[in-house]
Amino acid sequence: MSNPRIVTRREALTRGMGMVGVGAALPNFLLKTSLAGPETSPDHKIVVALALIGGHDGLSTVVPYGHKEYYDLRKVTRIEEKDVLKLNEEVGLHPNLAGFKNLHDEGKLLTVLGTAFPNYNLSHFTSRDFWESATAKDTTGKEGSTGWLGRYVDYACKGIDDPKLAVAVGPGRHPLIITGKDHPGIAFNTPDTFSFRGEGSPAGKAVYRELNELSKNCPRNGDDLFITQTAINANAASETIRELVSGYSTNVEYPDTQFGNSLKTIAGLIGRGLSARVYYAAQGIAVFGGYDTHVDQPRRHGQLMDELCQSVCAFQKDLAAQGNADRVLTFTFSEFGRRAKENFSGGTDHGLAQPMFVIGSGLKGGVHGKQSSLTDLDDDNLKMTTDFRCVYAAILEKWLGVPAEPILGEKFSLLDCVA
Amino acid sequence: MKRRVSMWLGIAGAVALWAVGGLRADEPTPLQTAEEAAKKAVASEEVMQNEWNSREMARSATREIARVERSRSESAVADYRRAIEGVTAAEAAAKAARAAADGEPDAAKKTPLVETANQADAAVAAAKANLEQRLAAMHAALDRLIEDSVAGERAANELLVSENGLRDKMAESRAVELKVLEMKAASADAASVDAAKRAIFEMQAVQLWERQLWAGVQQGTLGQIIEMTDHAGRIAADAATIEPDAARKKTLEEFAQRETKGKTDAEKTNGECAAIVAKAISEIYPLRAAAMGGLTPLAPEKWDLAKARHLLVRAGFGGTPQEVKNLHAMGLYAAVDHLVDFHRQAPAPASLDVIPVPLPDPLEGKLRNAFVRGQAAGARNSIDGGQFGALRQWWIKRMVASPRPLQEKLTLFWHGHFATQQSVVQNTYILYHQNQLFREHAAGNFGGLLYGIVHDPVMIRYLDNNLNVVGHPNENLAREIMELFAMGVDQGYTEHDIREAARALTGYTYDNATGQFRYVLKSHDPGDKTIFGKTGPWTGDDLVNLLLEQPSTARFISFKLYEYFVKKDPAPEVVDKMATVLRTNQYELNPMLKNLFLSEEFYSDAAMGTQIKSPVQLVVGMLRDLGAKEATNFGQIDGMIQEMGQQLFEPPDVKGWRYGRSWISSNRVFSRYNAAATLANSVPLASGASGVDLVGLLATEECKTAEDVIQCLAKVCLAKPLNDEQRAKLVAYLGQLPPQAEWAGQKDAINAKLRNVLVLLLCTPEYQVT
Repeated sequence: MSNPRIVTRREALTRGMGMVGVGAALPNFLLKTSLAGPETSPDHKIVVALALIGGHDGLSTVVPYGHKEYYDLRKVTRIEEKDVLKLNEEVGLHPNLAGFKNLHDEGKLLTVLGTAFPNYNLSHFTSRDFWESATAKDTTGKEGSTGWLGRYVDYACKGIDDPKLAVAVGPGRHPLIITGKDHPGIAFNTPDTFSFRGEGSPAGKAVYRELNELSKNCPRNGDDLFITQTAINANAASETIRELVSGYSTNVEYPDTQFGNSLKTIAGLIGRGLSARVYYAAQGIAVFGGYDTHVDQPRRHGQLMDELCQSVCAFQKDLAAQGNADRVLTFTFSEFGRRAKENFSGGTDHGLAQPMFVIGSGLKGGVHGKQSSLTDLDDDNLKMTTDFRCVYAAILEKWLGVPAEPILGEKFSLLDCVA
Repeated sequence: MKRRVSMWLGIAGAVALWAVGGLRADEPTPLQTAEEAAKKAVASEEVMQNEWNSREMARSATREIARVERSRSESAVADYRRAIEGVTAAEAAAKAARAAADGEPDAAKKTPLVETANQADAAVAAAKANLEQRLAAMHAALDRLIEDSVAGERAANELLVSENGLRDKMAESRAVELKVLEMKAASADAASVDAAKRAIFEMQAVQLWERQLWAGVQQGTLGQIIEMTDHAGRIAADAATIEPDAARKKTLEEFAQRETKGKTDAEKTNGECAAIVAKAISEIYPLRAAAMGGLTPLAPEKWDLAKARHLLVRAGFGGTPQEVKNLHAMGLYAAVDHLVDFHRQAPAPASLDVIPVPLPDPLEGKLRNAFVRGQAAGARNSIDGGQFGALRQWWIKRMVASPRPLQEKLTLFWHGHFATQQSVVQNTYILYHQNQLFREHAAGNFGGLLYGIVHDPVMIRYLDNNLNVVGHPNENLAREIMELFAMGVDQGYTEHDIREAARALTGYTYDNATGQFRYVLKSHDPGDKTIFGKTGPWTGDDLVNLLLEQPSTARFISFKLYEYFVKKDPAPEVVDKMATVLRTNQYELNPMLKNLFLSEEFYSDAAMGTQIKSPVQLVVGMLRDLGAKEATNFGQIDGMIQEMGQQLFEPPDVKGWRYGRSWISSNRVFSRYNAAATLANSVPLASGASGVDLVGLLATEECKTAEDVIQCLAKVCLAKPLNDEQRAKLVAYLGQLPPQAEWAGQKDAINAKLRNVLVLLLCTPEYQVT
């Protein structure tokens, strides 16, 4: 078998050759070099996805204080009614979410109750992949899986071979949610570490770049192509990203945590006009166990709420100062909520339905969806009242202005939450 | 193969005939007849075995006698030789004394001289008398030597014949038994046909193994014949040179010739036995594989250097060109045994003392001020923090330097499989012991690992089982043990099974002070639990057995090991075969791993050179490939691996590292490139040098031109060749080098130049896979 040979766009231009070999079957991003610079269109809408890693206890985040059953279920892990930041007669926010309460009052915070997925699964990993892929099929760990925001970029930016259209900031794996077939996205921890420093001489650097480009000529399989294109994209994006971030300054103070710094970097990239349509950051990766509070929940969950609120509010303030607040929609999700009844270790076990937050201007702020019953449980779990894909569908159609069905693979009723 | 097919046809025909022929009810069926024959064959085998036993005793006795006679003869010959020398010396002395006496003119002086000469003459007479005695003694000894050697050799040769007979007899009765099995297989129903066919392969393997073992026993017998004939022949030949009697001399010479011939014959037969052993060994591997229901082994003639490198990289981390050549020279079967039977190699040259965090000083609690109390506690706890870095570096060093690389690679696998995080447990002491548990059972028994993990303080702490007590179950461990450790997600268990398993695990906790497992009876739920449909007062120990009984467990472990060592997405039938081997061997991992590393699948194009390197593989493999095992900067290396996304004792979560594409992101590409470049240029070595020594590494390879150098470096580093354009770029960048013979004289300058191109080779997408 002869090796598939991929023609770079540059070659195609200079030699006038068409695509040959396996080209037709390959994703776009594997076929093209990334010569495009930042495609700055000052008005494109942006979505920022924030993952609360570990499966967060929705009943402590958005407290159903109006239901007395809540206090029967929760003895150690309860939030007392007097501490709840009330959103309505039924539910209110964790006391450490004062900034979110302000956003709520300004109509910039949307709280969606009872979100989950019909074929739920209580594994962290399978469940997180469901939320990120938003497809009914279990694609956990499967090669070529994509996330719904990645598919959005594929759809909206078809033919634009810019590697920086989807960006994840922070440690950990490359997130599925921003991974598209043609646009796998860029993931980096900090801008400083995001460069090649192995060879000092300009001649050596030039050979380095050429060798990496030439790897495209003899890939044996999808992994080879994946690595090659990731390397080429990284080389192409590295300088732009560092340049943009190092040239950004803000007066807004962020918490000096991994999550706070990730949001600050994202704000800088948005402020300096990076072409990215979607961003991702995760909270809880650098914290022991994140939101997976099987034990010692009140202290740990409280700290995370504080970090979440401070970071997101700083981010919103920063965007407003930039004049970009109207272009950016931010939402939170976790792999699942936690068990209705607390355990005996001062914590809670894996559960099901959870609240989501959507933050930004141009929203129909307030509380949406229905609080899951605290008595009618599914195997001790809170039942789903809103399929989270109805929220995604609304974001796609109403905020981003694209049809949701081709991206989510099914038709969903839109949650009436975007103006 | 052909033979087997025709045999199958024959049996099928026989069965068909029997079915059609309509035998009378009182006549035995062909199967009964065959079973009867098999029984008889085994009985007559026993008779021959008894006969062999008595011959073996006879041989043993005669061998001892012959050995004593040889030693006696050797002394007798030496004594006689000394006696001859004694006579010669005495005669010379007598002659001199007589001459001195005869020549003395002075009568007074002559008298004592004559006296001396007379005494010398007497000494000659005495020496001659001694010579006669010694000759007689030698004759007696040699007569017995010849007689007893002949008897000893006869006994040994008779034993040999008996061994031949017994060997053939056993082969015969195996053949009859095989026939029974083949008849059973031919009439087996769909459900049992696989097992019936495996039984045939098993019997064939047994047949071969017996043949090999008998040939080995015969080699022992022949070795003794060789030793006897050689020694006796040399004694006789030596004695013949000093034997005065012509007839006796002739007898000795004939005996010596006879012994030489006996030795030559025995050596020839010994060579034949060695060939039988070698042939049986090479034939037995595929049969053993088939008998266990395993994967088909690679044909040994397909074993080449590229495959040897692949094996060394996957079943270890990698090695220098010389190490690859050494492994290749062993041949496929021995190479796999060498790596998998790693306990035969020396342990890793790295040791570590980890101590538990001391308990608080009794006075600590009495410190009133919280700040100073915190200081005291901090001083205690800092012991643990300091140990943790040392623990990671110790392990990395083992992976880099251990002569048992597979043991470390499997330890890393089990750490990722039974994943726990130091950031959660915060106790280096128990983590160290967990790591040793994985190392001890690395290729041992999976049941042992599962049992160990249920009693492992780290896992108990990590998944909160210390909080899992009667009446207040915590299902964290129960869930993950099914989903991640034994059966695989949604593979044959229910949420109900998880809750019941959690009850079984109640009371399994650990002692914070000692870091030891504890079973607390009063915390255990003694009631009946129903797990996988079985009801009983199960404990955590019972749960281990219940899990091992689940077919999904063997499949899941096989699946994960296949993905770790071979490639992603194995075909279900491949996993089934591995799982069968695992179950056939009661979850012993060693036979399954050997079967895997011998298999055609392992060496397929889809597997070779297609694995994305984990950060550990990237760095450890690089140091091993480039001959930099003596690195001393394990702190820095640890940091590099972490930056690439793999901190030891800190997998991302309980599911462990995801491997494959998860290691590659735009950010991590740079972490990988930058680390490889730094190590190539400046890794500090125990010798005091820094940077990899490419001049030394390439000394075993022929590098005449810049093109050769690039080709050699690519062969050392890459699992797949560079494309022509890449190679041309590197050749151009390297430029001219002096002839290789002159490199040693300007080592630093050449190394610097070579490292420049090496770095470019390492910082490519090609280097990210192996």
